[in-house]
Amino acid sequence: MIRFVAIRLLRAVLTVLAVALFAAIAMRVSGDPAVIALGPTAPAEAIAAYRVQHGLDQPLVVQIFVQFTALLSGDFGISPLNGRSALQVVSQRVPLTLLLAIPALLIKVLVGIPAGTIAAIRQNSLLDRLVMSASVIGIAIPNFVIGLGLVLIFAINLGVLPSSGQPNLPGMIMPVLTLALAGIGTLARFTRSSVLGVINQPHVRTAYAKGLTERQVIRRHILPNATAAMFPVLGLMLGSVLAGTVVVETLFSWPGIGSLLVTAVANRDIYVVPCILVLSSVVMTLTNVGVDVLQALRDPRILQRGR
Amino acid sequence: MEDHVQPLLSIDNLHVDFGGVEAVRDLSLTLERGQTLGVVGESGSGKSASWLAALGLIGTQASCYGSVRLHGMEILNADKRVLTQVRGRRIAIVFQDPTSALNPLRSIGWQIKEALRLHRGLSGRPLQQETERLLTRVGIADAARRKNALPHEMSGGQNQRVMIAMALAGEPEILVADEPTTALDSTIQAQILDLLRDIQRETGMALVLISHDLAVVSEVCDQVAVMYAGQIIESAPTAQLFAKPLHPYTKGLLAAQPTLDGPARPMRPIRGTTPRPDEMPSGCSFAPRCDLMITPCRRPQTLRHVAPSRSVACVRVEMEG
Ligand SMILES: Nc1ncnc2c1ncn2[C@@H]1O[C@H](COP(=O)(O)OP(=O)(O)OP(=O)(O)O)[C@@H](O)[C@H]1O
Ligand code: SF4
Ligand SMILES: [Mg+2]
Repeated sequence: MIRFVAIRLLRAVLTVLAVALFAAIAMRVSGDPAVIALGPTAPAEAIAAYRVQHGLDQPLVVQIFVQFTALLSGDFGISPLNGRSALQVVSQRVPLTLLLAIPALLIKVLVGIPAGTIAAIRQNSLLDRLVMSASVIGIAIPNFVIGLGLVLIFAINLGVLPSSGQPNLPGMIMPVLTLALAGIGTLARFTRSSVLGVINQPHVRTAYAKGLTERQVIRRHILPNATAAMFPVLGLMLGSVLAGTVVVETLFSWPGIGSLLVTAVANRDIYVVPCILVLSSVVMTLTNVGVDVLQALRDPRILQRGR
Repeated sequence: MEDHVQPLLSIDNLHVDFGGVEAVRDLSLTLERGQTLGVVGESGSGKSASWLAALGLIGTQASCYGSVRLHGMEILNADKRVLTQVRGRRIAIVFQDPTSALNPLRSIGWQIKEALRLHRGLSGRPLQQETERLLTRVGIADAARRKNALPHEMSGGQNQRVMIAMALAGEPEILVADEPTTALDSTIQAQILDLLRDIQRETGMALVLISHDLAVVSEVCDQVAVMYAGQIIESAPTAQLFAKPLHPYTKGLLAAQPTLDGPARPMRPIRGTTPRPDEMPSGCSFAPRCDLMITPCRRPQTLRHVAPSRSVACVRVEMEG
């Protein structure tokens, strides 16, 4: 188990390193931060002074190296746009993004998993076809189209919900729904195939042969085995929710990390963008390590299979 | 009082059909209290399909016709409520590959307790004690500790012992063991067969032992039913079957059997191969391989009584007396 966790952690660290390096390179080679920060009409001396002050006069490799090491030591720098610490700017937005992401994840899990399970157990029934067609539609329609559709119906036609997000309950409804709807189809399909994979395993037949009712077999034998296989996907889903927030927050002008990332990229904020990338990669990789460990606790055979 | 004339289990004209392909054809047999019945046949002859169908465990792709009665109560295609009362409690079944037949995420003790709670309503201390007693009975040493093991931490033989313990939990009247030793190596195989035989004697339950190996079945069972291409083609008390096989297929099977203690004789495999289920001959299913085939063999052969406890599905047996 220790070896198992160590390997996962090492992989997580490598991932974060790679993201940090990528962030450092990308920000240094995509345009001139000094011009962006000071505007195209700024005097040449001011730009030169800015360059010296921020180390932009150094060779590119040195600049990248400096920012890379700074990122790793947790020094995310001061945002040139508003003069505040990048970490502060980002962490201020975190709760607002969680306010969307957590309910959306809950909805996905609470709707997607039961729907997929029912579809699998009543395979080829009308209910199964209904769930599967709905999920195909859900998968095929891009996130922002769902969001726009919701806005059209509830904000413009019915006028019952605000179209641009305010961090309160009515303002949350549409962003959360958009975020949740985007992944439910995938999750339902994945659950369905996991459950189908378990249903035909010999131990399920043993469970029926014991005299358990269908409900008992599903609850005690099929679902635990199906969800054990789904842990890694639940980890990946967190990632897709974080990615989804970029679209959703922009669409609903929700002041979270996603919209911050968009404005920061547009303004070439060389401190805030890497800060977001590195922090979210830390969250993602840690989640995945946690999910792997949970899965291994659930099903110790994974440890024997090694990596 | 009717109970005395009714057999424990009677299967009449059972057919199991996988979308037009008949896996089991017109199978009839009776099983008495405490009887040990061996079912022998090569792979694909319908041994598993017939018993899975009887318990409603065969899945929705199969259609089953005919009748399976337990103490006169119809259980074939019966209501789920009826079947859950029968399964485990009155008819238990043990499968071929024990390790995949156990839930990989639950300890073996958990899985036995689940059956004990379900069928005997045990809980608390008595539940623990009975679990350990059953594990000890089937030969798992140090049951108090081993009961916490997961199936993948046990050997195949041990898992088969666990499966047997789980089957015993409901104190069934019938135990169906479907090739219980095929996946195990030969020394373990003998131990498991001994265990089954001992437990059968101890509890007096009826035992149905399914195997493709005539030798395995003859060691444990009083009566043997030989299956060929979805049908029982001969059924006889074990000693009589060995002394005087009647059906040409049984004769061929015995001739192909290596004998350790019997007189040395050359092993003669039966010529030809089993017909595929989708190209079954319309008459006797063994006809294409049979040296004794005559014109009446073109008609389908059904099992006929020829002596007490003996029946055979071959037109020539009756003709020759
Ligand atoms: N789910 C299924 N779908 C289609 N055909 C099936 C299915 N299960 C079994 N069969 C067919 O039914 C026939 C009998 O199968 P069965 O499993 O009863 O054989 P068996 O005598 O138990 O053989 P084995 O010794 O291999 O266990 C075979 O021809 C098999 O191909
Ligand atoms: S019925 Fe005819 S073909 Fe079939 S086994 Fe008997 S003799 Fe052979
Ligand atoms: Mg079989």
